[in-house]
Amino acid sequence: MVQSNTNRLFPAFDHFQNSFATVFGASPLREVFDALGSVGEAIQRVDWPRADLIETPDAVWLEVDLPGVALADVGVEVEREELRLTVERRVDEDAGKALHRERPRGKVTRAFALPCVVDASSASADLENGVLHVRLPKSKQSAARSIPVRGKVESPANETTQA
Amino acid sequence: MESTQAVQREAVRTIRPRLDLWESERAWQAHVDLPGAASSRIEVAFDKGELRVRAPIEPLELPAGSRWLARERRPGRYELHLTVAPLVDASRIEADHKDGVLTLTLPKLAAAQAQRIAVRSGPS
Repeated sequence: MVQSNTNRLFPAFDHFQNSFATVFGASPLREVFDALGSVGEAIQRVDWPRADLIETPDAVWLEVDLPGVALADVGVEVEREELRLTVERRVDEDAGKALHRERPRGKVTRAFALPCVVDASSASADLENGVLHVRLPKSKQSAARSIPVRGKVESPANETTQA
Repeated sequence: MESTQAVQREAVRTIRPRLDLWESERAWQAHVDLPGAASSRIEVAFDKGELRVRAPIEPLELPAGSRWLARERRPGRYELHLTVAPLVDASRIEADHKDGVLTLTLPKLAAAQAQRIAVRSGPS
């Protein structure tokens, strides 16, 4: 494992299974809620949590829908040019008797390819209205880089002629 | 432009939010996920036995020169309609919003609550 290369930005989980622990049950509805439309369908969602990855001129932003999740239950790691998000969502285990459940819960991990090198040590994150905002400033080295132009082009073709 | 029209169509998209339903001794509760909706713009209304929730998703404002590398969160507006049974005490319905979750509490009328019947011992 290349654990040493990993920057732990926020509390993450020690071991994390790459699985969707989300459970949906189509429990019978009581007549109190008898007009819920499509609610009764059991859906196996694999798109949770929904996320946007955005590149701005000086940073990369990750925006994630995480209603009811505490920042302590979110982990963000950067390893080279990969961003990994880990989330554990617990919902209302003590709210009485469950009549119907469709909100995703459990542990999940998602990975995103970053478009450039980021300065992980300057990353910041906050939660607002159930949306996680992660800001990863672009690394200065990776921002604008001029490529030196040499007179002689190195290419596999040149190698064979020299050999 | 075609792309502008696509954005405008998306902007009014209606999303039925995900919810859980719970029952306790004295009330029913609906827990509704409304990520990206601001408390001040969530409307909850009860009329003719129907509970309605509406909330716009706050749009993301991006600086010029930004681009999406992944886009799964859809712009639009949450809309939920719940038909509520007459067993609910409509005058005492409560709505609380925290961390992107709306909790609707629907207290039961006395008639809907489980009651313990005292057992009398009759004359022997």
